[in-house]
Amino acid sequence: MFRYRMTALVLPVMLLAFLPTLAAYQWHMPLGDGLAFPFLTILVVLICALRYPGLLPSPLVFCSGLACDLFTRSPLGYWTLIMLLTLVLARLTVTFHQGHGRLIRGASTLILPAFITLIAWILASFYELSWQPPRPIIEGMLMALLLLVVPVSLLMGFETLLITKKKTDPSRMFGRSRF
Amino acid sequence: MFSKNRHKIRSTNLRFASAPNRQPPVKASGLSSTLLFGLVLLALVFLVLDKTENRQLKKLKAQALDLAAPALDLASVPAGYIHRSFERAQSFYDINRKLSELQKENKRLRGIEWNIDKLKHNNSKLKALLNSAQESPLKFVSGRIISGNPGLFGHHMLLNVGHRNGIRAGFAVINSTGFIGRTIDTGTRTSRILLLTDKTSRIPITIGKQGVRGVAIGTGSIFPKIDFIAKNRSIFEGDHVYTSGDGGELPRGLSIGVVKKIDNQFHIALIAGKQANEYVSVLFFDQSNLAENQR
Repeated sequence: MFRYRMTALVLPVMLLAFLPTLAAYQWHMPLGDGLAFPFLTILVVLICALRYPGLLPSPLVFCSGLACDLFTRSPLGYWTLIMLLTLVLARLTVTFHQGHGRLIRGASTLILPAFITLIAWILASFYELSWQPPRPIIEGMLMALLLLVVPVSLLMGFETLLITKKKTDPSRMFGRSRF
Repeated sequence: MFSKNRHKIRSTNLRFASAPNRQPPVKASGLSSTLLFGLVLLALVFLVLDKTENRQLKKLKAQALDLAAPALDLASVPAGYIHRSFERAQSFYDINRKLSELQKENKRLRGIEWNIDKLKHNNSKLKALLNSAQESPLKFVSGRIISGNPGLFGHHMLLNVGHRNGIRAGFAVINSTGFIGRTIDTGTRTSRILLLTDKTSRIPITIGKQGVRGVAIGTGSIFPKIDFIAKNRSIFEGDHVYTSGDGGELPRGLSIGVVKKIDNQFHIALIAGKQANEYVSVLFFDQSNLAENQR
């Protein structure tokens, strides 16, 4: 079980290390430049926490958030807090998410990013002690949702590879998380 | 048994967001919840300390960036390459328009070239007559931008030179066309630059030939606004804007841009605005540096 867990962690860890590094640079995106990659990292945390409950240890998410804060020169703790709150949100809704069919799961997966955007906006306004324009944050999340195709494809491919190699359902691999 | 498992694998839905026959999720353990709660509190504490500009936290951040600098430096190479490729592709489409702009500018510059030579000659004669002291050239160090992204909270860049190269907070930073900002935090190997466009940026300026004094205030957009101009002075669209050197923080005469009127308010169209900032120079301008140069 431990070996399966470690193997299954490889790609999520790589994504959570690589995406904050990408967030450090300017990519001249048409929308949400500067915010797309931090939000993409958050969406990867959400997807992994919903799809593989108990896989992501919270210290890993914490470190990824700190890296995002440092590399984007945001206030230390901003993206970290949003990522951890995303993990909390995912853990609270995972029962609902997995107990329903595809349509409801898809709908809830769209509502959660909207909620995360709201948290990001409230937190930014709290930090600056004044209401911030929501537009850059919304644009950042929209761009991240568009870019989400890439990490999701990688995760799908990796999952298929694990299932083919290990001949078992991924949900049986991860067991109880200590973190 | 094996054939049963094979059937199970085939029937397992391999598409990503659907697995109706999965095991019910395992509840998080008490330790897991406590740890998560503790980390959330820690992140909140960091946020509050950052807002209060805690010195220890600033030092820690600078040290962490110093540690990460080699990785960022390495990763900035492909990012810079991609950026330059996009710029080249974009300029390819703009080539005709840019060519005609360059031709016009070339013609204008040739027209004033003889005037500049004449002014230089007169200037040196007048200096000799007045027996004025020669200005020492400023020392500088050049570095590469290893991280530069306009985020939600500010317009900053990270440079791959720091304390060990003699850089301190408050030094002016220029690129090939003009002034872009100043250093605000320095680590051993990295420095953080606050750009002119940042909301917290305030630069004393001189405007136009009459030398009208004002302040360039960052707005978060690419056009900083001009404020604190004396009521009896006027500025006009197209006037050149330079650093005034007031307060002794920045050198005088660094080119910033030209005045542009937007919504009945004067802003600055930055001369270094559209230029890609990959390599910049940090000017060593402080009292001790000037004293050393005079010796």
